[in-house]
Amino acid sequence: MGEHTLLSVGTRLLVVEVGLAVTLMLAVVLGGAGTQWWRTRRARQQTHARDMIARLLTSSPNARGDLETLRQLPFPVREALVLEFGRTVRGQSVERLALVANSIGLTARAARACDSAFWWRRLTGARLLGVLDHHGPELRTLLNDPNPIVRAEVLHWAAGRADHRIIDALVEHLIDPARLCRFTVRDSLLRLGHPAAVALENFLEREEPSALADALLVARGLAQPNLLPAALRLSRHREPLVRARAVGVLGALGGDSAGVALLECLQDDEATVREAAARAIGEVAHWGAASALAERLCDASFPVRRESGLALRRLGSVGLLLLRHARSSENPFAVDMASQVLDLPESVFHRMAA
Amino acid sequence: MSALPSYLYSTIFAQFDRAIFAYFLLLVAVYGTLVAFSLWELCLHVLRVRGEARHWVLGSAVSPSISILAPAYNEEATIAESVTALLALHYANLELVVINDGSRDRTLEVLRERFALVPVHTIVWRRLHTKPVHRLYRSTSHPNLVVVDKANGGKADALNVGLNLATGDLVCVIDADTIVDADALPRLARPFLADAHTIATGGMIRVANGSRVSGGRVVETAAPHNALAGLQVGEYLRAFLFGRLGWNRLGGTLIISGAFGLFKRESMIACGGYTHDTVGEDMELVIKLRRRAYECRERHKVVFVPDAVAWTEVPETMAVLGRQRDRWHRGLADVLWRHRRLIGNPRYGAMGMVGLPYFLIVELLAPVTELLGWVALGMWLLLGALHGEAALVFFALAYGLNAIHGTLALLADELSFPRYRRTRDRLLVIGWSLLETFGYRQLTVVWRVRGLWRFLRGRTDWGRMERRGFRSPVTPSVANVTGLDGEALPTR
Repeated sequence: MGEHTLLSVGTRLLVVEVGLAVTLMLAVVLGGAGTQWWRTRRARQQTHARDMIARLLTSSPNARGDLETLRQLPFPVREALVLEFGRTVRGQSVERLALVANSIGLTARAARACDSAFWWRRLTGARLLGVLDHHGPELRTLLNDPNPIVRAEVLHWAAGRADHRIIDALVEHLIDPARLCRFTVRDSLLRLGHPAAVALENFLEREEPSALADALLVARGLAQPNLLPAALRLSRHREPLVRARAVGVLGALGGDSAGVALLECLQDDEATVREAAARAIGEVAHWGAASALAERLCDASFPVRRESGLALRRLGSVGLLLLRHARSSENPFAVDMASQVLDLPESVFHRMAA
Repeated sequence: MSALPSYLYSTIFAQFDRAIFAYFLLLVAVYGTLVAFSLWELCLHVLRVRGEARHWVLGSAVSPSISILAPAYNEEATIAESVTALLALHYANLELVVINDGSRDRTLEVLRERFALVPVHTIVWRRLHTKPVHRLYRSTSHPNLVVVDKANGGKADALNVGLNLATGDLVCVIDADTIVDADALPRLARPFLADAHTIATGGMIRVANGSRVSGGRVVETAAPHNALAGLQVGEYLRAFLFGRLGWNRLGGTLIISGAFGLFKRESMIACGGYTHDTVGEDMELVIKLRRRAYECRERHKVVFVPDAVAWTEVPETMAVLGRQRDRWHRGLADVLWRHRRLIGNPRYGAMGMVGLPYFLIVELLAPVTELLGWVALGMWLLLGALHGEAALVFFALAYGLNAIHGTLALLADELSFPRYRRTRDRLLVIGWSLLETFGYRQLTVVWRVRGLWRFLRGRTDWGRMERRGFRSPVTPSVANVTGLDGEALPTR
């Protein structure tokens, strides 16, 4: 290629470049100004519409004028408003909001969005139907959506429904491949409270260690007595993580059988299990384990020594006596930890032990 | 004899021209790829977070706990406001650890008075070796505030002390003078909830100069009127939106800004925490984290989050800016030198084969190549060996691409998570972005080459960094001589 040709190509490219740069600059300025104008307009519409929805929620939802005005609003405005109200109102107001949403065509549109091929539309649909506490089959179907963000949204909605079929489906998601869904389902089960305990008890019969570990975290939060047999069994599981989490459940439940199991776990080969056991003994204030805890002040693992020390202090006078005794021990680890625990100001101790 | 020099000249010219042109094409290809991936990531991210509710994550009993580490050195003018703002961040399970790194001013006294601190004795597992800790304090008015007073040892040492003390599952590193958006933490924590393999996330750093700050928050954004600060707005946007976001798709970024990042605490401790004797400790940490993960054959992810925003005050004088860029480039060179065995090593996956070679060839050597290009251009023109018109077109093309790159970043920002409300500010930012090519860019090249030269000569100091402070127009805060000056952007 000759120099002249190169120059000619370069010049043409330069013209294209300048054109592109100018277009982009115009897009920034005009796009920005346009977006700003649209946002301001939308904010104005929302302020007006917010008053109307508030009126509709407090009085009859058949106020035709208001509904007609709301129906005229662009879909994103209606969507944003219903989401905003749906996340703040509870009880009867949700039912009224659902009626309003239905009257302004939002529910039907959200239900259609749940069938969309695009995940972000399904997400929008799920969000809207979720805040409206929709009873149709759309949300249940989305519990098995291929997109984890959509699934997580529906799992969050499920936390408000004490329906055993939904709870069973919810518990199944403890082994969801997506962490977001596992996180959401743990949160949802904890919010559900007692109704989730039965489904969880059945789930704890499973074998998968990772699923069990997640389920035991929920079990600890729920602290329901029906979970005790499973926790006792799993405190002897082959996986250290499962044993440590099961010990946590025992600490939340307490009782004689839990105390015996915790004492056994305090001698476990794994430091994480011993640490969890020491903490749990402190939680249930199992006096019988005081001397075993004092022995753990010499443990090779720092977290085990720390938890044992804190647990001894939680036991009260017996534990304090053993801690003072440990200060004159021959083991430097025990002396150090006992001194540190005894020197803790009350407020800091409570925070650390919590 | 007379034909020999002429032949030699033409051969040298031709080879040099080709090398420069090839490098130029490589840069265009690399930046083009990064821009394409960034825009794709940005679109997906906007779709993900639009209409999202974060309150349930905030109130959840299973959300990970976060410890914020805020090192402070001679920050008496701003520390109270900064700590108040950090304590007011929207996150339920939050602990704030402020590390006073042997300040010579009244930083500790201000904290003691403002937050009713009382000395405490607490149990600390010293897993990382640090300079001695003089005393620990807890606030009686804010139970989740811990203040550590320690011997001066630099930013890395201060952060390592914080790591020993932190109890959260995640550790957020924030410079004491960085302003963080109230809802930035749950946004930054989102990737940890979405993927168990996430080990670090980094937020977007924006230029606070010109904006109105009140109560430790940016309450009104505006483009800076100071030329030097204005020129950095586009630079920051480009560096974060294109230079970091695109890496989410290319195997993960290698830099999490030291001013605002969130890390898995156990991973940080396992890799030995921050390295003391480097000026690029933030990049060094990310590489160490990833290196360890590769060596232990653990899956891992480092994610940049474009909507988690922190604000920083950028230098407004040439001297300070020059020292900053010099130090960033020295830091980059130092980190690449320390981890040179990883470059091009397939054992380290995308980091070894893509990330580090990119930082070596594109980031580290770009200013050298650019400087060589100018020198050669001058020589060629003097020797009459260059077609003036062709050279002009080539340089116009190169700078045109730079302008497109910058404007595209502004547009992407405007259409995703816009901050500037007024058209005047947008015009101002575009104006600064266009002017960047004339003079400012060349200056940064000189500073970066100087940094590289100083690295080769073994210089390792941080230099002096002066800040005007957000509250007062006169200089209330002068930091620092040992490394707590809160820079955000180590390259480009």
